[in-house]
Amino acid sequence: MMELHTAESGHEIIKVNGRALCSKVNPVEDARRFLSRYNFDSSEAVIFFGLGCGYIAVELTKLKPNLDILILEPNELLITQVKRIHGLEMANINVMPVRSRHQIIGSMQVQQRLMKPYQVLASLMSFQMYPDVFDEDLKLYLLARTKKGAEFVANLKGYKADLSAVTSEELISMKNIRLGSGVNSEEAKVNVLKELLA
Amino acid sequence: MNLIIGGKAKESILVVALLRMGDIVMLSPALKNLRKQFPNANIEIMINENFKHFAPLIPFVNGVKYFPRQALQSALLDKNKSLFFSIDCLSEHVNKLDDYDICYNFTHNKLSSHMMELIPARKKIGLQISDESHCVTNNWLSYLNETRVLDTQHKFHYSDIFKFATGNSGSREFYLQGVKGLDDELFQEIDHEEFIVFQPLSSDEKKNFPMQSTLHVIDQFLKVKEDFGVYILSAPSETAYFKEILATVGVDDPRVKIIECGLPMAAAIIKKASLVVSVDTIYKHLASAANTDILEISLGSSEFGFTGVYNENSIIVSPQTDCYPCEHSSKCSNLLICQTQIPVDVISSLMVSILEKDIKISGNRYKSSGVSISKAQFSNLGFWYSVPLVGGEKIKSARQLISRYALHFMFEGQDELQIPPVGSYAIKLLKDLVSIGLDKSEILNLADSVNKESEEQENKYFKIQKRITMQIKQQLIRGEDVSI
Repeated sequence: MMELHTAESGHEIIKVNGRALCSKVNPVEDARRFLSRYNFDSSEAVIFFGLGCGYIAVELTKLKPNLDILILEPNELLITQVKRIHGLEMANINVMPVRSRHQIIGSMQVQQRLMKPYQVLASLMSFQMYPDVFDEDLKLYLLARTKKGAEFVANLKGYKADLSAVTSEELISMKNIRLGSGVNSEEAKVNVLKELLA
Repeated sequence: MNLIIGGKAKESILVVALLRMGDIVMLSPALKNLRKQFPNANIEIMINENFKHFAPLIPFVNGVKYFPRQALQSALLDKNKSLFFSIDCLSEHVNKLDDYDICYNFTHNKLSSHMMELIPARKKIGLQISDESHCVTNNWLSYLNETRVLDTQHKFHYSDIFKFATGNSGSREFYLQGVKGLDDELFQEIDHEEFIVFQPLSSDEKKNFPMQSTLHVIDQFLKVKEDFGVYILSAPSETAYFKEILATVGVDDPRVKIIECGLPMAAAIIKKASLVVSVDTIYKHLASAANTDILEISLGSSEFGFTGVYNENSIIVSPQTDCYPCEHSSKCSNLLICQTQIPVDVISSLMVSILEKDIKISGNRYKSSGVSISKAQFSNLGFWYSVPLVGGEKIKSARQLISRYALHFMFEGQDELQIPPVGSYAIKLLKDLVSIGLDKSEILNLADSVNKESEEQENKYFKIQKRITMQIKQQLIRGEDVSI
């Protein structure tokens, strides 16, 4: 059940099944605090799990106007309500209704973002509210930190990734991948980055 | 890519310099050589982005490219960023680079060697891993990676290796550009006609001169030189620490000041200073570039033979502890003992001697001080070396000098048969040996011993060494005056 409320700061907020999706005190301040924990330098795209009350997305566009934001949200009614609350402020924010993990991975909208320097952000609440859609495994897959995820993203980007030395349970870091060589060698790039980790 | 200007092609050159700021200053003689060799070229230098503030001081270049080292590192460690995030960022950085005619790697670490592979250039000089078809051999730069081939560790100052690698223009100093006068605010701070700059801290704890000792040195110094000011230059991040120390030990002498300033202003202050006392920091290199007298305190992993103060007649004090110099990256396992081995009165007394131009450091005066005192000097072939004044072994130093002469000739592409039989070359070396303090019999003994060592060796380096020592002997046997 969805209910609309007003935060102490006067901002409109949303509760789903009795649970507030953002701060009941000041959702704008709370969104800014949340965003300050992340580094968006050099990022061109961000994929969010869950729309919440929309304040985080709106504050992020103010912070990084050129950032390509894609929000994955299973609750279509929530999308409608958030768009109503924020109106024009939502114009540059892409919200994609999602139903399953399979649909997310197969989506062109998601894959387009995976071609850029991107990050994936997920709150604990999104995992708790939609456990059938969002989980840590999906996040790691999209971040190319699992063997299958890395193969998937590498393939999208046209990298010849050699992950034969990695087990399917292992989390992948720059230290244990090899990319194919060429004139503008991806392998040399990986070697440069490995040195930065040394 | 060649730019056509007035119908004439203009070369484009990139120099990769991905180390610290001090290392970039040490490259300045090599940059001067490149500018001399390519007067109209567009020369760019690639430095780490976090040293952006230093860029205006880099001489002889037309532009600076920034390597986003910190951004890449933080992206690699960010668990919310994709595995490929840093690769994408690095690709973007590489894609923005021009096509160069020549790219020099003056960094010589693994990272730079992989970067060399990514930089578009027709000719690549210096260390690069793989893609050997582009590899251009340069004896001087190869030497950085081939120390095990020879019987020795590095024997040349880093600056000299790059200087000779780009053709020796005879530079015996560092260069900076755009060092301006003091701005109004700092002008107020510099409230003494004569002052010294004292830099006891470096980026590595092992190389620091203890603050307590620093304050004692300053106290002793100011008792002799009452009219001087003593300034410690501080980056904004260090100021609070320095001020806290001064407050803790109760220093309220108005002649002692912490001056917070950026590097361009630090360079301007150092230019006006009468003396810079410094551990292994960029400040000593700024002083070299400003031709200000320097007293270097070399501690921990600081090896002055490679990165020492590059001014003729500057003085270097180092400990005689067995573990000095220690490994660069390892932590000290000896409770930083070398830092306690430098007596306060030795430093303050040397400071006064240098200011009074009394640089003939008497052996007896400091004999029991437990430290080594050396003087920076340039050989007659143009390379830097240190002459032991106190506590050092002059025969060892002379032996290294002969070795450097041999290496120099080998790297310049000459073999033992091309060295002129006897003459000006031998005289050059003899003069250098005499400057270390060797007399005729010591030189003859040394020549015999080097000859013997080299006798059974087939290596080119040893053959050249043998030839050199034979020439020295012939020169001396002919009765030439070596006390020139």
